Amino acid sequence: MEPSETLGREASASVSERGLQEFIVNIAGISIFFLFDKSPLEFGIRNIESEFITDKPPQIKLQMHNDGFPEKKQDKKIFDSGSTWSLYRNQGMYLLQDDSLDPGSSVEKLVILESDFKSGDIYIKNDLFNQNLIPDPLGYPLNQVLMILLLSHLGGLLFHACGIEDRGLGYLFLGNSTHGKSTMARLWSENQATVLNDDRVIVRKKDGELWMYGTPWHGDFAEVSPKGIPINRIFFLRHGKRNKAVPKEDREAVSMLLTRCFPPLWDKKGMDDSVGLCHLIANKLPCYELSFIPNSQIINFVRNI
Amino acid sequence: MGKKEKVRKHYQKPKINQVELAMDEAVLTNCKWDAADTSGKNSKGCGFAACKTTFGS
Repeated sequence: MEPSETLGREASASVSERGLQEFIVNIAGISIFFLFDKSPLEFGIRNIESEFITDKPPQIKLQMHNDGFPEKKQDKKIFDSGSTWSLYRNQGMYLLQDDSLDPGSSVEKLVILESDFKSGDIYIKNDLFNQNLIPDPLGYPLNQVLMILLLSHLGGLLFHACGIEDRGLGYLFLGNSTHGKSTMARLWSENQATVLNDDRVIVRKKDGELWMYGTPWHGDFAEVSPKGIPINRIFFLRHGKRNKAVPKEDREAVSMLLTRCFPPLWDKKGMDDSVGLCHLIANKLPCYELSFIPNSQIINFVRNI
Repeated sequence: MGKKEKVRKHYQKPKINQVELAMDEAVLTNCKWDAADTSGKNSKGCGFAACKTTFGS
């Protein structure tokens, strides 16, 4: 049997009268502990349900607050997306917020991380504190930017990809928007394969192998799995008039991987590590450019490669 | 036993590959919240698939 790892467990928890004030989420082997400073019941939060909830020891502890924002000045800008998020430093800490650094911006969520990435605080405006934020308190894009930060520290890379487990083999289909990731997920799901995620998949080194892990952040195909499995083949998706797989040389494959991932662009060492991981993937795994027609014939076509 | 002949590789000048990123995708700014009926940015009511995500559903 092929190795696999279920990172979370099917779990749900109801908020008791005492109030469930903490939970741990595990994504790609990275456990994040969220602790409320008040009973979530006060905000109408009554249940926490997700296969990504775990009882593994956390690597990072985050305290959640809803009672105002601390005054934090920007000592050093690290990255400003110009719209949906920005990252800066203050007295050695990292600050991540859900808007640009422009003076007129309106910040509704703020994450303050200690420089060792082991603990921090999340500040969320009171009127946003509701059931929709549980168990993913940050929401897009801070949830994914936080993961990019943690991966740059702990090793790994978030890819714009669809991950599939089929008959004990792991296929990673990479593509940017409209390249067919969700279509591919639906086709494989209809053919008894497990979809890890149709839009965001994390790749990490483990025991000398390259593993992929499902994340909660799906696209149009909503079924996800927290599972981790070794990758057997890499495919770069494109629409075509017939099903065709063209092997890609290492150099080309590295370029294609880099344009289909979310590297820490602000961090030199993190970028070196990201390029290194893309090199390793291209060297170790067979990579193909896959043109396909969106029907079930692609399933056997890929199985026979 | 003869000397092992040393095989020299031809020198190849290093090449720089420029990689073009789809910037709105690479830096997670492609939320389409302004085109959707939303009560607030980055909300669950956003039209962008990643924003509609219900964690682990």
